[in-house]
Amino acid sequence: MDKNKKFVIITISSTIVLLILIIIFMVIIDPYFHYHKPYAWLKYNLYNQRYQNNGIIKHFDYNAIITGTSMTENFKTSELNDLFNVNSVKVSFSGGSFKEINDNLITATNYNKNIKMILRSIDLYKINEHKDTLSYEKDSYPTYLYDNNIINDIKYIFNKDIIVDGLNDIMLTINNRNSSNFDDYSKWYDIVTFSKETVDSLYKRESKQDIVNELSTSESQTIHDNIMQNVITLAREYPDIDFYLFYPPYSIYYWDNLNQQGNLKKHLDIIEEATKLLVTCDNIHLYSFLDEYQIITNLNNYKDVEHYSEKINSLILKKMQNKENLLTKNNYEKHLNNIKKFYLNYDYDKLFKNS
Amino acid sequence: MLFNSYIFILVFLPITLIGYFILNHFHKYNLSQLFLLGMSLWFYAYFNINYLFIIILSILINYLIYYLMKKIKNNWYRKLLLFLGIIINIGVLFYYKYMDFFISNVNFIFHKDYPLLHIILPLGISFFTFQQLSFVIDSYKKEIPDYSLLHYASFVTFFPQLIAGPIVTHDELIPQFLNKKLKKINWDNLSRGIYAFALGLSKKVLIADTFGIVVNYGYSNFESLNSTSAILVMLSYTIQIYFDFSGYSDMALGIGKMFNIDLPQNFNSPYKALTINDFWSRWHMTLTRFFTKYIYIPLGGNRKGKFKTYRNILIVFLVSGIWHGANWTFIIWGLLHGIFSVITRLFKNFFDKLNPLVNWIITFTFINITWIFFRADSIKQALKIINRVLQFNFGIIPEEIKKAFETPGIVFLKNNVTKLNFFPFMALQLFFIITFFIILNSKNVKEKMDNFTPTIKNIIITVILLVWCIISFNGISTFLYFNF
Repeated sequence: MDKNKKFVIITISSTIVLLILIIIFMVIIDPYFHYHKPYAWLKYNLYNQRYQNNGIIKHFDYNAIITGTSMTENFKTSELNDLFNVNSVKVSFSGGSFKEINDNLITATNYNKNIKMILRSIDLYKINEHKDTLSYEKDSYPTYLYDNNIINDIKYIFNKDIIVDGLNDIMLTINNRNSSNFDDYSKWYDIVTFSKETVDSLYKRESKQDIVNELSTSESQTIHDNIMQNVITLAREYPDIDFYLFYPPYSIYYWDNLNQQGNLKKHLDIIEEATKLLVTCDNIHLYSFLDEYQIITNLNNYKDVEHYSEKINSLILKKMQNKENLLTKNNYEKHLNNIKKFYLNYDYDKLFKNS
Repeated sequence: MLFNSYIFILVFLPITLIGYFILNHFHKYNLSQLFLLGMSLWFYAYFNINYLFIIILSILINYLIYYLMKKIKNNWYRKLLLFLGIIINIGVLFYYKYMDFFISNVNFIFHKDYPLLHIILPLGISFFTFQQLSFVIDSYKKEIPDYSLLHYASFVTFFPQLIAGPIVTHDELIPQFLNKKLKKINWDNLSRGIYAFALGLSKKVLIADTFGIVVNYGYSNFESLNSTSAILVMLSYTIQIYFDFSGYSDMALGIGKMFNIDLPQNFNSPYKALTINDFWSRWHMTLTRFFTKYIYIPLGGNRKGKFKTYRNILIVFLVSGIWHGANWTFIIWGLLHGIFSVITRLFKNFFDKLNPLVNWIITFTFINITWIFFRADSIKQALKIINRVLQFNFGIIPEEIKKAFETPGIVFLKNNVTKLNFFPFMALQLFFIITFFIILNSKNVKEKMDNFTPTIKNIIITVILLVWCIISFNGISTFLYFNF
């Protein structure tokens, strides 16, 4: 045969063969669990929330979910499993909006009919975001993983970064190391310092504004739409799933900041709007840790204005199991009055007297 | 669609090649030409379907002008047609490319507040406008034989050269379309074409895009660059624009070759140039050719004395600057090249006596600095970056710049092959050294294609580069932990 013809045929056929080998490799190793749960013989890494949470939620075996923002990243699924006798996965979304988190839960309920429990943070400063807010540009999400379109999976399979992740799983297996576990997935408590000094060094106190901002009707509507679309709809659709929601205990500086801006009253009203909606659903168990004043005023529990240590995560789980801090139709008003009284009358300036 | 996309390589190109040669095999030459035209239009419409009407309309109008010029003998009418043709082509280009720039300058000068139109630039309009302009001008000069609309439209839309050149002229392309000997699949051309395509694709995907990360970082954080990183950012853009653009031209050459069509060379190792004039005879050669033929020579070229020669050079470079983009940065870039070109002519004796290495350093430095204007969003930003370079504050290289070169593959090797532990720290240096070696030492892709032999080594190189590029089209994006 003509040497050039040979060149063309061998070049094209070897390219095709190599590409097919890559397809086979990626479908078997499947580092982001897009097609199946990990094979028992293969060790895997968990580390990339927006790429892997979707696959975890579709294909892993579980009956409980921990989800939410960074406020949930230090939860240990092993503790939840022991306390509630469940088998849980953790799929936190750093900085995730209500919609992102809820979309992932919708996928979960579509794929897994055994879900008993969903534990989710309700981040105060995200309550009044628009219902379709996403945390990043829409184009930056790997939506080719979220849908069932095989054609766009080409972006998953012929993707050098993800192929290398697959090779890393192989190396993990060869070196006989352990797969990631959900206690460790997304955690960050071991790489930061929880101390008043750290928080002080990060907190820039704004000057005091002599205004008191009020919640407008359109903002109330935004809150309503956000909570309804991204929390309550799913709870109503799945009455057999218990939704354990909680307001995370941000540090006292969080409240000081609102106070300085003149937004404190408004923020408390936002919480009230959300609470009123959430307590109406029987399978939503809403826990508020906003009255854990001892935790909140002790800045040694924090690494910055909002982020508390893993000990607080453990405490939240125990209190939930004991049904402490649970808000109901009957007691929520009392709780709201209590926190309003505390935060509106707190002597914030006292915090900064010595420094 | 782009050459560096899954759809182009895995779907479009194979279908187009197979369809074209099957139709030719059965001697359906017009049908195969029509098929090629249809595929080219699909290629173009894939970006934005609305562009399709612009290019089709533009082709029809220009062909009509050509047709009338053939029919009409009256010189006045022919002049009028030429005038119309130039006005329409330039007008369309002006509207789509420069209208917003024009409005914002009017607003600035006259303190007005006319709203911008936010027109989306149709891709390749600068290229196909020039091609059609040259066609209309040549029609006026009666240099054009009889072409059918099919062949004319195939020439303008021929997809390898449609969106980023080379700027091909009708007399280079249409005779090849008409040549029946070129209609049969030619394994020699096909193998050369595949090889050149793989090399061009690698230049774009593996080199230009990697340096592009540094450039994007540098230009968005230019306030905080120290001199070391500012120099790296400057060099990175010099590398990026060359590998991006010439890689694209190489791919065009390669794809053309697969169809037995020779396209003109567009780059001839431009950074080896010792003078700025040498540079322009090596960089974007088909553009220089166009400007020489249709602006420089009609203005009198170098035949009307020194002063007019320098004036003509400055005009050509000014037009070139404007052609490259609707921003003052491009105009400054063009003028700087024009001025330097005049200076090297004025002091030709001085430059000729210099050591070639010194000449190379002067030219390469000049090119680097002017590329800053070319890339910057504003003249202010360009001056700031130059200022960063000149501060001589040589600090450490930021992690973001080093990370650009620590590709996942390199990190994987480092983690798993203990002997390579030193490697990631050298990744940046290695990338720069290898790239400069290619720029200054390696033959360019056109030469490599011409000297190609179908050896096992070339099979291995081609296959590895193709697969490597295909898996590099898409990566994973990092979600920065803002605000947790």
